[in-house]
Amino acid sequence: MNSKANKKYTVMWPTIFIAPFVICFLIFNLYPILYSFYLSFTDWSGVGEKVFVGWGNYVRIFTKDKTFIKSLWNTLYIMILGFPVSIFLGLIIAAFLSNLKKFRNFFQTINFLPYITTPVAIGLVFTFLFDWNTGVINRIIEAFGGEGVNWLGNAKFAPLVIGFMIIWKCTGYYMALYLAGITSISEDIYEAAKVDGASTIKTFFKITVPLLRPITVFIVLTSVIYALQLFDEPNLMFNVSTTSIIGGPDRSCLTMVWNFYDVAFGSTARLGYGSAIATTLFIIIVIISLIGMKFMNGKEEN
Amino acid sequence: MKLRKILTWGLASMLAATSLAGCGNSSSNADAKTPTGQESNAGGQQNTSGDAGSDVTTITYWGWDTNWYEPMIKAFEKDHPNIKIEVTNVAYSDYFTKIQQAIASGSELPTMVQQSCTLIANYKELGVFEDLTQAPYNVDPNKFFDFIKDRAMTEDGKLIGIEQSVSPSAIAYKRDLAKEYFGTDDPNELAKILSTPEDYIKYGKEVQEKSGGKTYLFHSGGAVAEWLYFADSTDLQNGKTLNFTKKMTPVMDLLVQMRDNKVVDTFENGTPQANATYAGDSHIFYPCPNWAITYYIKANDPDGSGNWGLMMPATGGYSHGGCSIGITNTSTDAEKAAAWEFMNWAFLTQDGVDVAKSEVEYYVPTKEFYEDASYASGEDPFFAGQDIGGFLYGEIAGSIQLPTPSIYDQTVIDIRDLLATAIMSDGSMTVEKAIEKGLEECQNRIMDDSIVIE
Repeated sequence: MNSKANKKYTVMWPTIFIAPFVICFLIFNLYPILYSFYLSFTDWSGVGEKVFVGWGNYVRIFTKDKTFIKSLWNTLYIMILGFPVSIFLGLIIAAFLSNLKKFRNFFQTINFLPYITTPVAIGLVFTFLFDWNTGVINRIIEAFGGEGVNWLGNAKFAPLVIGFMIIWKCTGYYMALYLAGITSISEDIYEAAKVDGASTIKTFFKITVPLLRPITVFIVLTSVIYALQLFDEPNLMFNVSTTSIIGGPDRSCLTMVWNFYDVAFGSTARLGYGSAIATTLFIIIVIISLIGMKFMNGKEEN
Repeated sequence: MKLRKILTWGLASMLAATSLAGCGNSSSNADAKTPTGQESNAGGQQNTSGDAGSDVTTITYWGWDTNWYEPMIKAFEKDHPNIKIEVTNVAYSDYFTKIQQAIASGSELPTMVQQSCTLIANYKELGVFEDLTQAPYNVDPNKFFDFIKDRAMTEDGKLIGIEQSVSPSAIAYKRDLAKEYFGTDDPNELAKILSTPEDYIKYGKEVQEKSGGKTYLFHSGGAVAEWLYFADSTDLQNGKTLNFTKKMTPVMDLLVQMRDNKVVDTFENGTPQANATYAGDSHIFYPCPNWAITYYIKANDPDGSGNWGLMMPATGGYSHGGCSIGITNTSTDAEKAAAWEFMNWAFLTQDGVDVAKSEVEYYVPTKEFYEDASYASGEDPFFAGQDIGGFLYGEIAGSIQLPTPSIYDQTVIDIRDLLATAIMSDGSMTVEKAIEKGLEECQNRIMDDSIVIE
């Protein structure tokens, strides 16, 4: 093959085929990101002139804006409430299902269903479940002689409900990932452990869990990114009433993305400041992702 | 070989074309505008305004109020076959954002915009609306109710919209419960018994005792806070000062007393669970704007006909909600003319006003129609024959005083709801704590450092 023909196959055709994506990426991803970065140095409501304010927006985020700091803590709190339990349960259910001879597909589907349920429906179902006056959960508590709890109106309990919602929704997804991982572990290893007299629990902790480490790292990393971008769950939960309090009771469920959305597109649109929050959020996610990637790569090298 | 080449290029082009298929820019229509502002047919749209080949002018409308726009547009288009109104339903909560985004991105605004009253000051700042006092509209704001005529007026005297309907508000009640606990279901007698806000505390306690804790006067702290807030005509903003404490303290003070004395139940306003209480027998009174009669009372208690009454609140009549319709100045002359034809028909002609009344139970703010006593008055069987129209649009509407709109209205309303929820869910929340929390919220949410929050 001469060099001209070679160039055609190594340069021209690849360029032509990736061009549509690259063009779309530049127009719809990179340009808005850069424009948003530029906006973060301005004071602009979407109408009128943009006023350049330098680092003013960023200074305000970290020094004056208590709502941003609160939204950051809320996000981390909800993340800690929901995801570790969800991941752990996903692993346990996957381990049980992998040994199940009958109805495995049925239970797999049942567990996975919450993940594909539309968030709007989830929000509505949970508000009906946890309503203070008429919710099923409080009816059950009262049936056992307890007193109904204001789950959705109290700042202490509302994040717990969001955490529970995450567990309910994501466990099936993590189960599916772990199940795929368990299936790929060679049966020989389990048989060898059996021959050596290892108990089921010991096999689980000494063989299954360590060999699933890459999947666990992947799940943890994607969960953290998902958690930092949390918006749908709390927003839908507290958006069903006419009052629609932003961030739920005492803003206890105001996540970083919800805060950004409200600042940028709420009643007092502050696109410049909203862009600064978006950029800050982007940097936080990138830093955490890089740490996770490094952790993952480090483990692989080991 | 050549065929393969052609095929490959063809496929690559198709791939590129399909990838970019969704990237069409609506602003291309703007390029098709002629220097006179009329659109040519180059935009590719059929029946667009000014289209030389067609007599039909198409205008656009974004709205959330299907109840109003569907029958109104249907009736208008029937009478005006030369005008077609294309509607995009936009959720109330997303509406202002969508308008802002359209302006920020330079994309096309609808010909007619629905302007919520709690954001009317923000709409004024956008600068994208026609001044309806000027030609060719020449609207005289004095045609409208005094309390409402200035709401959509900018400081320099531009009228950016006409109110869709007046929103006088009173207190609705269940007659059977009123008789049981107050010995009467007569609205005037009830108004006398509950003539001060403190009376609600006194009688609320009695009702609780009589019913063994089952019956409350009100179902939701949020609904009570809404009523008390809108009934207070104190201006939220004076120049650069935001009177948060002055405006919010009386509201939160009464709410805390009501909570402590179990005058108000703990339902969250507007939720399906709260709405279900309209058909129940545990709550007597409901703050009631005119539109709530259709949307809340009749919708949630369809079997309650004859069991409802409407009385004067202890705070006096007040206005809750409402919105204006405005015409965008980015529209073409033909579109503006068509939009005005619709608005003129809807708000200023007998035909449109009759449709609004009969189909939607909306009453326009135009005073002249009320000269005919039968326009708003009439016995309503759902309210046991009470003349609720005459009451709302006569007695109540005549006594309303509105505060001057502020661009922070919606922000403070959001904070009010936050505080009402906090008070109702936390028995230890005092007025002082609530106001302190509210002030902190104001500081966080209002970025303009020149605004003094008091």
